[in-house]
Amino acid sequence: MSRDCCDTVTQAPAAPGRTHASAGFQVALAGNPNSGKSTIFNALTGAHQHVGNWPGKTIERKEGTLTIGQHGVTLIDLPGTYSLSAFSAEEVVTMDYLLDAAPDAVVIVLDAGNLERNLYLATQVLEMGLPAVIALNMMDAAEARGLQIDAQRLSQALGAPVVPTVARSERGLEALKAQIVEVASGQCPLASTPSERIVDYGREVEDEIGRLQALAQADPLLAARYAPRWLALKLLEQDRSVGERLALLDGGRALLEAARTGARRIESVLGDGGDIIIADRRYGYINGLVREVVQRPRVDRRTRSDRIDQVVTHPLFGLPIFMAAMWVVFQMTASVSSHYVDWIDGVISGPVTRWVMALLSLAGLGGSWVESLLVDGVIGGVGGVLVFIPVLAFTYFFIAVLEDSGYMARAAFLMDRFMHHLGLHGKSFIPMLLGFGCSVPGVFATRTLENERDRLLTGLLVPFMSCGARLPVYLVIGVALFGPRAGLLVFALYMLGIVVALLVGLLLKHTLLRTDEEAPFVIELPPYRRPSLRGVLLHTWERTKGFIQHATTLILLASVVVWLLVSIPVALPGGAPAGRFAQIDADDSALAAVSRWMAPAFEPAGFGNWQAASSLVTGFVAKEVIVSTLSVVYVGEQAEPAGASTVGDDLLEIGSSFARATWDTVRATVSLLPGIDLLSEQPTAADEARGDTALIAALQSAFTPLSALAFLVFVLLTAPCVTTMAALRHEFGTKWLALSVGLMLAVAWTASMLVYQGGLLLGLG
Amino acid sequence: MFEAQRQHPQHLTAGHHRPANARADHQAGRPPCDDCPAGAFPLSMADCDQCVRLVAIHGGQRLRKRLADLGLNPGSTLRVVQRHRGGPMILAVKGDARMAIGRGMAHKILVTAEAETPA
Repeated sequence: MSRDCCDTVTQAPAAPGRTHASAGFQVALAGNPNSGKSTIFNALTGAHQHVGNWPGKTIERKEGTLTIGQHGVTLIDLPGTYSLSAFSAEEVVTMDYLLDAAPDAVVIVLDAGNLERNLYLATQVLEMGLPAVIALNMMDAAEARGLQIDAQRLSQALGAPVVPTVARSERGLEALKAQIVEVASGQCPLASTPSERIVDYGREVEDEIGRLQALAQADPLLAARYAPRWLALKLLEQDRSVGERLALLDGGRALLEAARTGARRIESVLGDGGDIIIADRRYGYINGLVREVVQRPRVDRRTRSDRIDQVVTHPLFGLPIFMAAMWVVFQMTASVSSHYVDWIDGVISGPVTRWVMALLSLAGLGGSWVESLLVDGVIGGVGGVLVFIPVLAFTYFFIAVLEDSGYMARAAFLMDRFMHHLGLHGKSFIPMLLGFGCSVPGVFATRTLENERDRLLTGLLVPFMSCGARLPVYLVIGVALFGPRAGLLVFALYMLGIVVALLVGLLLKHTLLRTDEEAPFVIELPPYRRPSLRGVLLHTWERTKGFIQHATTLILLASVVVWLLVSIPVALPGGAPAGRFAQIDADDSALAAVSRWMAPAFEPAGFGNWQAASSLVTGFVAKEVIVSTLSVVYVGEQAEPAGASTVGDDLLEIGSSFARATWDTVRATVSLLPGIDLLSEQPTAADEARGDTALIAALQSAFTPLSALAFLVFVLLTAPCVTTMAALRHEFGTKWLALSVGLMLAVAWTASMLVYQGGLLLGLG
Repeated sequence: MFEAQRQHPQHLTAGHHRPANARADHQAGRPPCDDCPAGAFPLSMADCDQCVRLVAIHGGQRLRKRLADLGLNPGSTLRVVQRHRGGPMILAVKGDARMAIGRGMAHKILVTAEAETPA
């Protein structure tokens, strides 16, 4: 069956604003989740890809480039969807892109082992009338199960070339690339035309389609913009998003009315809504097609994945296995990564700082405020981002492994019942868990949630999971004011964080994040697969790089602001004249002035002194800084011993400390196995807390146990560090970041005030 | 062109759903609600490894379309791969896909028993 393909060039609706600057093609990848679409994308574009978000959404957008022959191709990886019904943000994004951006070709990726379900989306995309290529992916898994697929017959039925592929081992990709170019340049002998019917929807529905199609074709504006048969179909389905588009066009409203009448007719004759009937007929067609095209052996229907699931989702074993897996992930991201974190920290505060200072001395700026700005402000700021690289890399790596192997779906399945009682989704568990180590990977882990609203809700609640950096604050103050009961106090604080998170979650669900429909609890369990190392590493690299680029500006800004606050001399009223810029005591700085101004706000919470307030201000940059700020304001500046060394020594030190950090990381990883401990005794945070007697004495005179408790509650619930804020902005946008910060400040203040006042009322003051 | 394979089954509006009596009804052979086709029972009653045919879903149009998009549409064959007492179920949907559904959802999906046919 061959058709003259020159006709296909006129098919693509002339979308306004479409420009092709070069002779390159724009090609989109569409398909079900778990169809291997992303593997194909990675295999085709390699490192030439860019990861961002779809504008106005929290859905990931991946774009990449490749060259096929002499053609440059821009490839867009559309979100994985099961259908184009405008139910989820992913579906809307996909459909909008295919309608508005009018790519030169669409590659529809099918999981060969799951054709019936995959063809449901494929037929919908084909009906849109864009030039299409079908990648019949995961052929290896299908063949392993004894399935035989007649690709030729499939291609004839669907009216598009079919290329069998195994993206993981890069088989079939050359043929795919060739086919893409052929289709995109309008030269392929097989192509889907809008007037060609793929699915026959039965007499009644086809009659209605015919009627609407005629109406649509009569309107030149509509006919040029949308394929008429596809439009008719969508309208009979009462597709909300298509309806909105048409309402904006002149001829649209008449068509909408006609469609409404038609849909009502279908309902009265066939007894169900147009969308259900159409879905039904579509499945009927697919059912018949698959019978024709796929030969399956009469073997045991229990697949290998099923057998693994017997254990993994077993009511008894499933949960312990999951807990063990989660513990490993948590330990790797929270503590094993710390060796590299310390290494980067050491390099930045050691050799890099020394080099900058040396260069500045050469320029005659040694000891000036410029030096202070660069060293304390800029390097401190940028360094603050860079030290997160190992944490992020480890997080992304493990999440990618969990997802690509298929285990993530099982994890969501196991946790869903429990999380549901808390008003959350099963997939929310992992981000929350990671948040206990560090909020930054916790926020990024929310990517795994498919539903936008669930993702947002989880992301807003992650910072309430008390992160590891807040722990030293609890310990120092706890030990100072509560002595041996500090441990109990810390535990209580963590529990409080969880309880508050649940309450805030409930509040958000009933106010800002309320939706009309709850996503039904249906989770697909993809077959287990060995994740490709290349894919995982690529994934990790792209995501980490993306964050670093995006976050640096915000963190730099915050660091410089804090530096300014600490450096600007502000004379105390009636006191001695202030010192010189950047060389003053904490008492005389703008930070102190600002803190004094803020302090009264904390009076009801019992810690209305400027020293406590100042530590909260610096705590915005990083929670670890709270303790050192308290130390500085209560006890005084500690002189840092300056080490002199040569560049050669420094380079050697960087290299050797990296080797040490790597070795420590390996030992820490192995030590995860129970019974093995390769790391030498390392001082615990509690030991370190007990060491600083001067600070403890100062704290004991500055706080009462009740006011200290209120202060700690504030620290627990307050807005997170600036890196987490950058992460929130990166994932959810500035609006939600502002909301999150405002929300947490309000909650923190209210809670600490309640604790203090309540305590006074109870006579515990 | 491929014609639709079967007649579309009778549409069910939100019927009465009495989970407390459902097991007794099922064992006595009574359908769970007045409009249900005879022999229909909630998916939550299906046994492990049993093949069933989906006949209806108790729910609004939106839910039914949503589930249809995921492969759970009237007329399709499901096989229970795993079931945990009082908990979620894992189903084989459209032959090869594996879906986990919650207990509440399983109550809403009505099925009839189906003889073992080659997948």
